[in-house]
Amino acid sequence: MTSDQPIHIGVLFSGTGRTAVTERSMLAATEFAIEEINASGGINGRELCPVIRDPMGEPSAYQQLAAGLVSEDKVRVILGCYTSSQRKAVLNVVDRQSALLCYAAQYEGFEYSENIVYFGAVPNQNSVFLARYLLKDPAPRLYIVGSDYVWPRESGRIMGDLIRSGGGEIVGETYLDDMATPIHFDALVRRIRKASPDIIFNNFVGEANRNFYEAYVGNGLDARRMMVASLTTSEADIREIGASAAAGHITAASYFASQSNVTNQSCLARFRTRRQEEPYANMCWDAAYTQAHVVAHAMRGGDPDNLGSIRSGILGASFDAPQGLVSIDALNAHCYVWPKVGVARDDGQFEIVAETNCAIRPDPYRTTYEFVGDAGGSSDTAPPSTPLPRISGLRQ
Amino acid sequence: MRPGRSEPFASEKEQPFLIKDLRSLSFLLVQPQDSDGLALKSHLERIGCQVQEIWPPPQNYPTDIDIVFVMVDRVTESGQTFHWQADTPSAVLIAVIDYENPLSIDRLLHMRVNAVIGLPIRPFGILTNLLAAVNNHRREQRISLNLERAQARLESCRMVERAKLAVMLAEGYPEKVAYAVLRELAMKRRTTVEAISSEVLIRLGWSDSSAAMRLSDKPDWQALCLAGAAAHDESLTDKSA
Repeated sequence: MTSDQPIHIGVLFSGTGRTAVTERSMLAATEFAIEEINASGGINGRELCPVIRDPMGEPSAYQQLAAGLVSEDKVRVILGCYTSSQRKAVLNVVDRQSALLCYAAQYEGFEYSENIVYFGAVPNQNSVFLARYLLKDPAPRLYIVGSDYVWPRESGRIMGDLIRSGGGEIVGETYLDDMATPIHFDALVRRIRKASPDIIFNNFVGEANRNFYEAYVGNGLDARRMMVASLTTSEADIREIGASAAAGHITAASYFASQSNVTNQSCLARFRTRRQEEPYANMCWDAAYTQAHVVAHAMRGGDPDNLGSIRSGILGASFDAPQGLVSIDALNAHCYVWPKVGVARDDGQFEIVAETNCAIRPDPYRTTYEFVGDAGGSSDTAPPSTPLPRISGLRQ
Repeated sequence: MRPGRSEPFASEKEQPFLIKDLRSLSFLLVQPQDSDGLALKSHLERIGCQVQEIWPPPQNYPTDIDIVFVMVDRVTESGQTFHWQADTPSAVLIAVIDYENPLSIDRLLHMRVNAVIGLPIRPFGILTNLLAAVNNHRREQRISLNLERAQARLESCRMVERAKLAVMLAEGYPEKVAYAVLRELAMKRRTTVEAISSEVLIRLGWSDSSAAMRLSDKPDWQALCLAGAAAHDESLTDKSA
């Protein structure tokens, strides 16, 4: 293969469908990162050429399109997917056909594949941080809600364990069917109101989240009366929900667009200049942007046409991301991230009210979640003196 | 093996060993240091288990090991022997295999492996397979312990029945009275009805080993009753405490 040919990279995000709001922002971040990579010389002179496919929110389409990307377009790496079912569908393909999926959403953990690198958070990172924040008030009473699939159920289970072990109480837990209509959401909110929790822990995503907030506002609730806490409601979701409905509610995430650090601010400014549009940045936008750059870095440092070389270039690598300096754990292929808690403002952005002072190590197989004694201490926190692993020479 | 670090298996009925307890188990990998071995070790560490490696296969296994993984075909290829007490295993045994032919399957069945993982290592499914194997092993241990206890209880029932019969025949007592005599003796001597029954059978020559029953030989039996009134009898151990 001659060395001036472009390198193709698969991009798999939905422009329509139930989770399109977030996925469109991930696509924009990916395109932007690839533009930046090419503007700075591509992959050692070769252009990085995105092959973009739109599965329109259908898990089966993710699988088909991923298969096509690998076998026909000959891509080695796919940047894409948002939900766990989408990721599982693509895992089927990359596992069998030797390709690498870079996944930029947070998820429930309990997965490892040689063919996936995970750039989003797992529960030991954001869930623990959010629970610790909620437990600052004495004995909070929570009602847990979400759609009925693996992420909300796992996230709810973990939050329940954390809150109970910290002295709080779970007054109810309800998961709605995929087919739930506004009537069901209304009934759910009435039920919650009856249980009168202090906080609703909300695991709805995408369209379901919008339905939830509609019912919430429709029932006369607001953040002063009953706060909603979430791990997934990002700036992108708030655009759909409406800033006034979301105001005052809290989200724990590894990134907020309102972060004042230089890396973030200059990244957002570059985005606006280059693309002449608002970035609508959110936690998935940050991770999607980051993963494209980390892949490019790995390609530059080794053989960009060899999957093993790309993968080992990614493992152990670190990157000065908008959220903070992140690195990829070489053992479990998940990302060290910087959890934060934000309160939604009237303008749809978040006021950051709590943040870590170091990146939190990913522990995707962590099985028990409880605070023993002091809820403030944490075994997840790496000692501040431990430097994060930089781009390492982990070649196999 | 110890059924789990936290609780004894006799008391916990059918409570499964859950994923949350997994990190309390210690693992020993019997494997040479190669890329397959590394892949297995890495995945177990990723899950958060405490993992040690050993090669060549040891003669026996420390009791604090809960789960042994053995790369069986590597053991054979290198001319080593895998020593394992299949009848009284000290741990859950999981075989890691390269081949799946009749001979190697036979060998695995004789080793009584609790689970099998194929090479090359594929992380998906190991965690579930592992937990299913631990639970099956623990249930088997529990069942065999219960069986042992049931057998012992059966044996002691049989002994008491025989002693009762012996007293009935020797003294012409009805069944209830014969039992009351044995119980009273046991109380006086601060021991169990079983222990008294055993002694009665020996003194009357009714023990399983004696060839003939001599119902007329009463003196020993009388002596026992007298001895029962005495405060001590060194020949009987006090089990009631």
